[in-house]
Amino acid sequence: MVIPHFMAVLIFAFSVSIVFALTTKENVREQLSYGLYTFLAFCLVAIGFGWLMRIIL
Amino acid sequence: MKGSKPLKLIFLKPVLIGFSALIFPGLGHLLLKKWLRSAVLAFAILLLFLFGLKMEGKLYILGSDQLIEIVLFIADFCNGIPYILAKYWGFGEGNLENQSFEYGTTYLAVAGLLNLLVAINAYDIAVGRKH
Repeated sequence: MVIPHFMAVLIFAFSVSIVFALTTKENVREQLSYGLYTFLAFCLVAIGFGWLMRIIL
Repeated sequence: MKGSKPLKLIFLKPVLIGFSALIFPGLGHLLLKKWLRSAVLAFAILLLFLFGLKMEGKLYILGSDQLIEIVLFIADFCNGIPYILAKYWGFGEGNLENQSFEYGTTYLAVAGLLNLLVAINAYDIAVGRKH
């Protein structure tokens, strides 16, 4: 099975943000907002580094 | 002597819960009767683990003299029963020709490390530090 790079980032970010949210926050509202924040942060950092590598290399 | 048995159980229970969380993802929270949290954690970790296997990532075994492979073995082994079953059924051999091999290997190691984090969280809940 071969998946595109961005799809790999999405799967990784999805799983990791769920675990981070559920292990660090206590109530459901905080868990949802922190999970979403972590997921978006992972995706944005991946896109940012992708563009950075495109510019530099 | 009369009160020693319950006292032992109080100290033993968090350790058993932490250990059971390491055996299978989400089992620790299940024993703590946190059904939904247990199911979601198990889903997230097993999703990463199964994608890692599908992408033909490598599950490391103990026996290498390279430090990085020992670290990766520890991370992989923290998956618990899924690791043992995958090895038993012949998965996780690793296919270097697959473009997603590196991603798969990373997924498998990260799934184990996340399970370790979940086990520590289950221990903390059992002790009473979190709820």
